[in-house]
Amino acid sequence: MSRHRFFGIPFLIAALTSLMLVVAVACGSSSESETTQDSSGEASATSVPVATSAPAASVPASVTRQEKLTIAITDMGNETPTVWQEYAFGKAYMRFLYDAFTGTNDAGEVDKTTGAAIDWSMSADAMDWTFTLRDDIKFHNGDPLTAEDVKFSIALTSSEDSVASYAGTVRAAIADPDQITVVSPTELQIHASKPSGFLNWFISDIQGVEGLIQPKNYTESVGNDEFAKSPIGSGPYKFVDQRKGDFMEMEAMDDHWRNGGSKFKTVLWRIIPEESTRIAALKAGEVDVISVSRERAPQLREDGLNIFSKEGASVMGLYFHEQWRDDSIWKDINVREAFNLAINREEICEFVFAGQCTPAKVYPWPDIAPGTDKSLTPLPFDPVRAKELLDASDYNGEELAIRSYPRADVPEGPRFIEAVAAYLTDIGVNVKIIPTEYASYRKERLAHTLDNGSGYLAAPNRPLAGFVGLMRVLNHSTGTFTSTHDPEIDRLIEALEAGVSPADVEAASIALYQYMYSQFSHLTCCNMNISYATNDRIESWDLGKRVWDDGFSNLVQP
Amino acid sequence: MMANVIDTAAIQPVKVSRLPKIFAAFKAAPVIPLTIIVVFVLAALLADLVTFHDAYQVKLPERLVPPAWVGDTTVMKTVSETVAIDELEKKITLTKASAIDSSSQVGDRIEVVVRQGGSWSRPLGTDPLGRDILTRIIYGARVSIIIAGAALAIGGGFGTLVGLTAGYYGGKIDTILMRFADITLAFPLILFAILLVMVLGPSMMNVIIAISLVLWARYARVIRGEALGLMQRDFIARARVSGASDWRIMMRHLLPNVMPTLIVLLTLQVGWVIIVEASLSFLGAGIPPPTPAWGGMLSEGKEYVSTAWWVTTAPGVAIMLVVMAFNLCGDWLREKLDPKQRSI
Repeated sequence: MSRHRFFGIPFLIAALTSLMLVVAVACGSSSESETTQDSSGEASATSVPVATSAPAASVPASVTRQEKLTIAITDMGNETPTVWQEYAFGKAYMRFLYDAFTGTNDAGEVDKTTGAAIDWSMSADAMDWTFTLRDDIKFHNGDPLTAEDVKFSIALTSSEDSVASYAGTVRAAIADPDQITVVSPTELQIHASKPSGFLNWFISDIQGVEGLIQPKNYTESVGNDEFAKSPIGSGPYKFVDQRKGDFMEMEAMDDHWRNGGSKFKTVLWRIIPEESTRIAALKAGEVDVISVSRERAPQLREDGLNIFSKEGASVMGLYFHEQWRDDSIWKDINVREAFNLAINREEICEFVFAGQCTPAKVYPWPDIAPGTDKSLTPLPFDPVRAKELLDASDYNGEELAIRSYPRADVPEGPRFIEAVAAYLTDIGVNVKIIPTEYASYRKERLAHTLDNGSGYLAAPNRPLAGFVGLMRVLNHSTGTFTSTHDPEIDRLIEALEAGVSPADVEAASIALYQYMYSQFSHLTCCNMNISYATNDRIESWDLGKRVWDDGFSNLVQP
Repeated sequence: MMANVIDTAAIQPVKVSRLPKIFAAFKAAPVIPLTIIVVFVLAALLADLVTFHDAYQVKLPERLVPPAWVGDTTVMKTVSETVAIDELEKKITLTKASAIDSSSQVGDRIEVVVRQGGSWSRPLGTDPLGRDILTRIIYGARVSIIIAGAALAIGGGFGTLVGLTAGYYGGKIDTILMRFADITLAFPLILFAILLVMVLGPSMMNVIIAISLVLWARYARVIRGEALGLMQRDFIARARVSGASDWRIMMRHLLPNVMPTLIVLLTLQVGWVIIVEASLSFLGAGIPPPTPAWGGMLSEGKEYVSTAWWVTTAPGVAIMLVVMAFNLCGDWLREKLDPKQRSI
C-alpha cells in the first residue's frame, strides 16, 4: 500500500508533465507549419494555401511576391507610429508606413522622385520656399495627400509636445506653422524664420521622422490617441497589428507609387533585445534579418549567413552633460581633456568592437563625414598626462554617473561603458555605472537632469545638410539635447545655419569641428561599422546613406 | 549496623568533555555542503588575501582566455595568399589567428590557432573585459553574503517581530498584520523587487531593501503559527500571572522557543536570497557593474554561451553549489532541531 502511494504521486506528475509537453510540442509545430517557407520564400505545401503563392492582381506580373519578411532588431524607438510621437530610432519602420514630404535617395541626397514634393525653389535670401506636390498619392484609407496634410504634419512635428529628434531644427526654421501657406492642394509656400538654405532637407526623411506626412482629416476625425493605435499613412505598407515591446506587423499596398508591388506581402518587425536570441532565431529560420554586433559578424559569416555592413557609418562618443552648471565637473576644460586622454581608443576598437572600427576625432562627425578638418588626428592615449590634468583641475572626486544601456546599433554598449569606466577609474575618476534603458536616458537628456552624468551614443554619418540640422540639436544653447552652453559654439552653429552656398556651409562646419576638437566638447571614441546578418532570402542589400534607417525599405523593393 | 557515611566533601565534580556531544551533533552532518559553505564564507571574508588579481582591472588584450585545462582552439584553413609582412606598411591585426606557419604555400591546408589555451595564472579564464573570473567569483561571494546577511537580518528580524506580535496578541492585530503579510506574499516576488529597484535605482542597499520588503512576510507567517501554539502552553500563563510585561513574554519566553524554527528558516532562506539577488543582477536591476555579482556575471556572459562557455558556467556553478549547500544544511538542521522529525 505504502509502495503504491510512494510511486503513485511521482508517476502522476510525470504523466501530467509528459502530456503538457506533448501538447506544447504539438501546438508549437502546428503554429510553425503555418509560417514555414521554403528557401525561395514561397509558401510550402503545408503552409496557408492559395493566397500566398498567387500575387495580388495589381502587382506587376514580373514581381513574385513572397509571403513574409521578418526583421528582428533591438528596439524600434517609441513604437508609437505618429510623426510627432516617434523619434529617429523608429524611422526605419516609419518609412514603411509614411511618405516623406521631400524624398531622399540611397546616396543620401534629396530626390524629387522619391517624396511627395516633385519640385521646389528657394528665394535668393533663402527665406521663402515654394514646393509643388505630386497629385497621385493616396493615404491607406483612400484620401488624397494634399498640401494641407503637409502643413498639418509639419505643425505636429514642430509642436512643443513633439518628441521627434530634430524637431528643434524644424522649429528654428519654421517658428510658427502659419508661416506655411497652402496655395493649392499641390502647392505650398513656406516663409522661413531665418535664412534656411537647407529647409528642404530639414523636412525630408534624411535624418529623423520630421519630413513624414500624416493625414490631417483622418487624424482630426479619430483623435491623436486613436490614430496612434491604428495609424494611416501613404507609405508602401499599411499598419496591421502591434504589441509594444514585441512586434509590429505591416501589409503591403498592392501598387504603391514609390515601391510598386513590394516584394513581401507582410513585413513583421520583431523586437529581440538579446543578440544571442536574435542569432538563434535567424539560424532557426524564425526571422530573416537581424542587427548584429561587430564582434559576432565575422563568426556568422563563417557560419554561412550573409553579412551586410556600412563601413565607418557612425561615430561613438560619450556626452559630458549639462556642462554649463556651476557644479559640473565638465565645466573645467582640463577635466574634459583628461577624460579624452584617458581612454585607449586603439584597444577599444580592437577588443570591444572586434577591430571593426577606428579611432575617431570629434563627435558627432565620423571621420568620413563632410565638413571636417582631415588634418586633425585622434587624441592619443596618455593616462599620465590625463592624471596630471585631472590633478590640476577643479575635480574633487565627485561621482560621475555613466548610463549604460544596449542599443540596436551598439549591442556592445554595456561592455564599452565598462571599459571606459575602467580607464577613467585608472586616472582617479570616481565612476558609477547606472544600468538603464535608452528611453530612460533619453528622457533625462531632454529634461537636462544629467548633472555630472554621461551616456553614449553612436551618431551616424549624414550629408552636410544633416550636420547643419544636427548641431543645433546637440550643441546649441537652445538645442533640445544640448550638453553645452558655449557662446562660441552657438555663434559657429548659427554661422553654419546661415550658410546658403555649400562652400560657405562647409567652411563653417570645419570651423565648428576645429573648435569642438580644441574644447574636448565630448568624449569621442571611434568610427564604427554597422552590420546586419540575413539568411539566404536576402541576396543583396544596399544599406544606403540615410540616417537612422539602414535601407530597410530596399529589402522590400521589387 | 553502621550506616555508610559518604564524605560529600570528598566528591569531586566529574569533568565531562562537551566535545563528544558536539561530535555527536555533527555525526550525521552533511560534510560536503558544510565544506562548501565554509569555503564560501571564508572566500567572502578573506577575498583580499586569497586572490591574486584585481576583480575590477580591465585588461582588454586578455579577454576571453579559456580556463586552465582548455588547450588551444584550432581550425583547418586553406592558404589563399602569402604576403611579405616586412614590406607591408599597413598594420595587420590578427584577432582570430595567432600562429601561422610561415613556410606554408598557397593551397596548403594548415592548422590555425584561433584561440590560445588557458593558463593556471587564470584558472577559470577571463571575461569579455579580460578580468579574472575566479577572482570575480570570490568577490561575488562577498557581495552575496553581505546581501544575504543583511536581507535576512532586516527581513527576518522584522518578520519575526511581526509574527510574535500577531501570535501573542491575536484578534484584530493578528488579522491586520497577517493581511499585510498575505498581500506581500501574493505579489510576484521578482516583479516587486524589480519595480522597487527601478524606482530607487540599482545599488546594493536597494537590493537589500527590496529583498527585505518581500522576505519579512514569510517569517511573519511561520513565526506567528509557532507563537499561536506556544500561547496555549502553561509557561506563558505562569509568566502572565507573575506580572511579566508583554514585551518580556515575547522576548524571553516566546522567542527562545521559536528559535529552532527561525534558525532552520534562516538557513533555508540564504539560498533563496542568493537566487533572488542573482536574478535581479541578471535582469539588470541588481548590483550595478563593475561590482562583481554572480547574477551580473551570468548576464555578461550570456552573449558568449556558444563561443566562451566558461564566462557563464563558472558563476552558474557557484550559484548552484552554494544554494544547494545551504538547502541541504537547512534540511539537516530541521531534522536536528525539530523533535517531531527526530522521532520519525
